[in-house]
Amino acid sequence: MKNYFFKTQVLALSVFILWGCGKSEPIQTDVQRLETIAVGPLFEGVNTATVEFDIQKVLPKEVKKEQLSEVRIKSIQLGLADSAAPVPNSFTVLLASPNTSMKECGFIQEDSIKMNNYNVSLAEEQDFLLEILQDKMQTLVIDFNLEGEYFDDYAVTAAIDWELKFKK
Amino acid sequence: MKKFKTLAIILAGLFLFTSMSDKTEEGDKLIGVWEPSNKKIYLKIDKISGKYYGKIVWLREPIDPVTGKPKTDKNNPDESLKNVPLKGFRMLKDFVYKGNGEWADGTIYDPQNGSTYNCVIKLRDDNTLDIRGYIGLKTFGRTDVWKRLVTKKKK
Repeated sequence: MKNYFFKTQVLALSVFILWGCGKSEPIQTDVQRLETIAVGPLFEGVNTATVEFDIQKVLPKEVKKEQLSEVRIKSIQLGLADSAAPVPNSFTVLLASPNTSMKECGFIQEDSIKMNNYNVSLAEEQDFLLEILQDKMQTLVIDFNLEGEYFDDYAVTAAIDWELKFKK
Repeated sequence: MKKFKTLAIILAGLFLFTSMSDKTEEGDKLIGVWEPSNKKIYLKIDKISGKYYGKIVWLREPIDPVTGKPKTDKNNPDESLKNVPLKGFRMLKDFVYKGNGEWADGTIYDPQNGSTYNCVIKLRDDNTLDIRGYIGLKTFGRTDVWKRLVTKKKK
């Protein structure tokens, strides 16, 4: 009987430890602000602005990106760094990393841009983000469609609001 | 003896650097604007963070006859991405140059059915590509021939 109680206690303790280990905790981070650059001259049609970054710099010091367990993008707000630059017809936002495949995160259509709404319509499926953020570096890619030529460098800013959780 | 060792290390480093930059130059032959055999689109291949990607830059029929608006990726398996403009869509992704005029490890997306296939690209000559899309084994696939858009020089 004593042995039975001991075994039950050990089992309960193991389950409790496993449950505790598996619990994800949210991370409070500021909105990440990035500036992507397309090197000019740019021609009519679809052009590309990119920037490389490391998500580790956004995380608190005690959290390593390998500990991330859940990742979602809550919102992305785009903007043009130079107010005199031509406004594109559309934007598509993608993320890539050296050891994963490039994925579409969202887009902005012409109708929204005409209404001065630069909020990205986000992809419902975001499971790929975890693998990308845990890689050694990340690349933000913004494709944009210009109606005319532009003979200078073109900068698109992105404010990304992440929803991150990690396991201790 | 020490000087000889230093010289050998410098030469080895120089050789390694030269062969790496040669490989990069060879790999960059993929960069440019290409036309598939169906002549419905032009794709521009560029290089981002060391890998090669291709996006649609021109469509023969850019307007959807049903909606009267620019075509979107209406067959995308993710419902939320069905309104992504087709012009600019990245059909080729993640290609790595393997040497001998071959790029692999990438995928090709078919907007006509929303499917993604494994893909290998082979440079037949400077202006011709063999694009082989496949599922699983390369044997069970289909090859398309793409031509580079070359600007005609004025006489």
